[in-house]
Amino acid sequence: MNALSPGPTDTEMFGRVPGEKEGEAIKDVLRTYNPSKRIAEPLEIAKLAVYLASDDSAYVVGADFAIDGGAGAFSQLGG
Amino acid sequence: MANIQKTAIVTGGSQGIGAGVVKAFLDRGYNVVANSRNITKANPFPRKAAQRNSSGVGAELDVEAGRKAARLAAKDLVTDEGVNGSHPERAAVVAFRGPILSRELRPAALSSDGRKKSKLLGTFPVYRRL
Repeated sequence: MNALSPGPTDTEMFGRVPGEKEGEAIKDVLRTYNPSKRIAEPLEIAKLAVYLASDDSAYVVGADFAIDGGAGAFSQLGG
Repeated sequence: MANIQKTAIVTGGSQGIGAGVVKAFLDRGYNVVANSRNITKANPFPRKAAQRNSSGVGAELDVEAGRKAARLAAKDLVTDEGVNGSHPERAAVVAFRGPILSRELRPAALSSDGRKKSKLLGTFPVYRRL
């Protein structure tokens, strides 16, 4: 078993929190403060899931992968 | 191409990251069984998604099999029950703070017998800790 910990990702969820206009505003903020200056596309997260399900990752066990454009790393540094 | 006979089970595959996961597996030649709480007669997502995303390598989505598989697997899976339109505040927490907080919570969940804590991991602990 392994885990993916995605950062902000461009999904329909933003249109529900609490509405489409607000969701776009939130995405803008997240882009601004993310070290990569953008949020993820779902496929960027999904491709790691495929790798973890494949035989190529047989020796990867109990790992937690943050895919967040660097946000978690900066957070831990106090940035 | 060693993966071509394998089948991936994807819960919550109708949109967002789940839909991306479905597409990624299809693109790599996997068979995919996906489910979603949003499947209705008016919104028969998975079959449409299969047509849209399929790479043409034996990709197939079986809605009923997906539901059965999800029911069987539910006791071991982290679910996203809190992330829906009726709990937007919880969805926001999971989306924006979840990745960091869930990393703190995960070791405890993995060290237990799993069921209760794993089920909670995706929703309540993250919500309550704020």
